[in-house]
Amino acid sequence: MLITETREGNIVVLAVEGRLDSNTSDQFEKQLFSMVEQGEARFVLDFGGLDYISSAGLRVLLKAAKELKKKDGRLCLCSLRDYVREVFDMSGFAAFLPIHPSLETSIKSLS
Amino acid sequence: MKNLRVPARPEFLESIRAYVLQMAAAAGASDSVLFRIELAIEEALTNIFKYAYSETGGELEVACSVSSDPERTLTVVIRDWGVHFDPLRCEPPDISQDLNDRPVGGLGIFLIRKIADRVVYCPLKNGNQLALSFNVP
Repeated sequence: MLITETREGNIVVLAVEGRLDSNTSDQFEKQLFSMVEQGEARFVLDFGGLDYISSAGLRVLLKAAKELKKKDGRLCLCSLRDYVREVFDMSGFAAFLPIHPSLETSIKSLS
Repeated sequence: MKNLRVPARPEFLESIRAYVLQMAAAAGASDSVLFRIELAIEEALTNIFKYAYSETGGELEVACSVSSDPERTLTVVIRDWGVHFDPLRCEPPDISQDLNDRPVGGLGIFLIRKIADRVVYCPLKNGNQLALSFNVP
């Protein structure tokens, strides 16, 4: 898994490539939560390069969404591949995590 | 192909994954079916690491077979020697709950049941056996 961080104003964009599974979710959790603790409150997770996600990855997203809600922050996802999107639909996560077709629409929604 | 027997530890997920996906691909599974099989297998294995072997380490054995009927079903049997753990008796999460009420975790078993076309759990005298079947279109 490779995470690339960029910024658009006060929005943090994390592009996640590879696999978000039980072996890599701890690293993702650490990186995301260290930014939340530093006061970052708006995140776009660009999953365009994400090949795979399991419940270990979903768990981190749920935890982060809950934490950000407490801090009046927001998190959204973009550019999911079809079969990754299917996991969000199956698990019901698509109902509470905003999913956008592109990075541009994600940034617009948080601006 | 021979069964695969490995230590029940996360670093062996990759070899089990490769073995199962090779069998599934040989049975003619499409990319999207391979993705679903991979997900169900990871969830089943991480539950074994967490629950069957929560106190002690141990081994697990994975066997794949493909039925010769026209439906072509891939069955993956996972056997461990840990404490009894019946995933089918776990309460599924309520996926209609909103963000505030949704508990963190508990999703793995739900995904297994959603993805696999058949799930059979069998407690053994000294361990567990879980059989996951997938129709390979």
